[in-house]
Parts: sequence; structure tokens; C-alpha cells
Amino acid sequence: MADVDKEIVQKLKDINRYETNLILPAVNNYFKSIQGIMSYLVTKKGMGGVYVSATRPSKAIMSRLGSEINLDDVFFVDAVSYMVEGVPPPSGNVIFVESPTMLEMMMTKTEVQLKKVKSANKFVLFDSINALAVYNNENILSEFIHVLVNNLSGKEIYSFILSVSEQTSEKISSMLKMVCDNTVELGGE
Amino acid sequence: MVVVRSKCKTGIEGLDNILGGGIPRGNTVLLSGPCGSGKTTLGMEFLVNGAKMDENSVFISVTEPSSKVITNLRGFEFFDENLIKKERLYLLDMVSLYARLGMEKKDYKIQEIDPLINIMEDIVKKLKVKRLVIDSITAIAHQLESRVRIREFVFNLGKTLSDAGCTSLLISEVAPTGAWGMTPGVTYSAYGVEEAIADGIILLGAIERKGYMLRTLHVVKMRGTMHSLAKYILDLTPNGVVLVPLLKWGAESG
Repeated sequence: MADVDKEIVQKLKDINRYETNLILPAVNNYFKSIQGIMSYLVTKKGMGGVYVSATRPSKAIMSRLGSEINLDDVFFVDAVSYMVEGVPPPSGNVIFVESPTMLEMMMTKTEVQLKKVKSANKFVLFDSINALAVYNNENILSEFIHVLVNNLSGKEIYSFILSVSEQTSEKISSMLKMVCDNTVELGGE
Repeated sequence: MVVVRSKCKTGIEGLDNILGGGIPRGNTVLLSGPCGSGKTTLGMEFLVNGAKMDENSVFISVTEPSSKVITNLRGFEFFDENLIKKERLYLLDMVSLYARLGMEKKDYKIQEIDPLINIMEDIVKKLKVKRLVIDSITAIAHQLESRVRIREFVFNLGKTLSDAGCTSLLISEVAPTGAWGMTPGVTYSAYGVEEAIADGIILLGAIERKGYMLRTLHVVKMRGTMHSLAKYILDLTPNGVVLVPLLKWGAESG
């Protein structure tokens, strides 16, 4: 864990606003990488932001991150819970999207959540492209990445898109690398 | 020399960009769509944003009492009830209109076009109204007996409002076709005559994608401005309407 944290600090220290960072975590260190990134952004850099989850329900993410990281200024867009548990109970800092196929809604809900962030330095963490690939075909996903990255790049925020290389098709991988400003590979154990 | 018309900014996220800066001032715009497509919310946000910019704004509710409209508005963060107290935002219903005519509801026949136009003109002039929404023009047209009278009413209303420098949205209810959405180009109003007279048409609808409905917005025409012809996804959020481009690969997928 300490190695992952050190690597994240080293690789994220030069990130800039208006740029979109493609994060390629190793599959065996996936959640450790998320923990490390969130810890770096929230605890070390004092940022607040929006966590867009298409991989795990927000409740699960909050329970795992919340013990170590103060999530008061982190707001979630959750595109998983409806799929796994039906209509989820309302949650203060979470907006639910009914299906990961409603890609545009993930963008509009991110806009809404960003307005709630109090910190001057804001981030958006998108977790993950691989989860969306389960429900969306390559054409629409590729178009979504293009629109999403350009949408995020125009904002005064720090943006991160997660994608596990081993699980990403060549077409999607090429699109991600083409439109993102920086690529950050996080090694395995 | 090309004269660029002054624009009435809707203040709705994304819509002013789609409209090339806003609705040209004085335009009468048909805001069409089936029930649940977001017409009233969009219309109200247009008015509230105008009132916040110190433009007197009026909502005329033909189908429900204004008290009910206020109750629904309280669920949106963009709404500020002080705007009503400050007399920047007016919510009127048919009972208020009858009262202005010095009549009770039972005495008034909506088939009489001139008094109705006159009362709207009176409201616009006396209250110095810059923005007006009528919800809905369909409910009024329903009372008129023929297409000729509907055409005459919409034409006279549009001219009166435009002459007064008032930018207006006439909400038009259309029956849904297909799953829930509309097929563009088929119909923009219940009687098929309103759209020919309006300066602009904003069409709300929906598409189905893998069993889920997504609301859409499409500016079909808008005189006096270069506007986007693309279809957008419309999301009704507590902050109001948010628009993002419709992903083209997801436009028709079932």
C-alpha cells in the first residue's frame, strides 16, 4: 500500500487543472489505487470533488474509503446501485443514475454534483471505463469518452478517468490515449 | 449590413449556446412536447432567470391554479419566492384573468378571441412584462372552434406580444407517438397551425435506449438567430434543466 501511495504522489504531483488524466491501474491493485488517489486528492491536497461510480455501488465505496478519508466534500454519481439493488434509498451526497447505458445522464449529474463542492480545488474521478464497456458497445462508448473528456477539459477542475489496460479493447484504449492529456500507469505489486 | 438582434438569455445551462446566445427578443416560441417532457419546468426556469435579471416575467396557467404551480416550483433550487413578493415574477391563472376582465368564470367565454388578447396585452403593458409563458396554448386552442380562429388567435397574440417587446413561450401539448417520444417533423402542436405562425419551435421529446427513457430537446426553428440543429439530452435536476449533447451512436439503439 505504501508503495502505491508513494507512486501516486510521485506521478500526480505535476497534474494541472483543465487537463484530463487517464489513470491505468493494475488490475490486482485496483482499489488500492483508488484509495491512494482519493487520499492524495482529498487528504493531502485538500480538494473536494465528484466520484462517478460505474464499478461499485457508492455505499460500498464510501464504507471502504470513509474510514480513512473525510468524504464530507465528496459527492457521488452512482450508476450501479439501481442495477444491483433496485431503487436505492435516498442518500444525501449521492445522485443515482438508473442505468450505465444512460451515459449522458452521468454527465448531467456530474454537473449538478460539482456545484455542491465547496473546496476551491475540485476534481472529478470517473470509475471506470471498463465497467461501462459491459453495458455499452464500443461505438457509443468511444463517442462518450470523446464528449466526456472534452467536457471535463473545459472546466477548472482536475479530472481523472480510470481504465484497466488488460480489460480495455484496442479501440477504446486508443480513444482514451488520444483524447486524454496525460496517461498515468500505476504498477502492480 | 446585417443587423444582429438583441437576445433574451434563457439562463438555462446549455440552451443559450444552442440558441446562439438566447431567444431573439420579441420572438413568440412554441415549446412543444408530450406530458412529462419538461415543458413547464423549462418555461418556469426561463421566467425565474429573467426575473433574477430584473425583467418582469409572467406565467399564465390555463390548466391549473397558480397555487399548485408554486407548490411544484418549491422543489427546484432555482426558484426564489421573493421574486413574487418583489413583483418581478407573476404567476397568474384563469381566475386572475377573469378578475382582470371584471368577470366571473361563469360569465366568460374563451371563444371570444379579442377580449383574451386584450387582457394579455393589458397585463404585458401594465406590468411591463419582458417574458411571458402561457401553459398551455393547446388548452386555449381547444376552446376555439376552428383552425382559422386558432390561427387568428396565435397570430394576433404573437403580434401583440412582439410589439410590446415581450419574448414569449407558448407551451404546446402534443400526443406522444412511438414509445413515448415524438418523431421530429410529424407534429409540433395539437392543431397543426400554431407552428406555422410561431417565430420559433423548441421540441421536447424522448428516446428509448435499452429500455430506459431519456428526455430530449431539439430547436427546430428560431427566427433571428443561428442555432444548433442537433438533438440534446435534457435532464430535469433540482437545479433545473441541464442539457448535454445526445450521443449519436445511442440515438436510436433499442
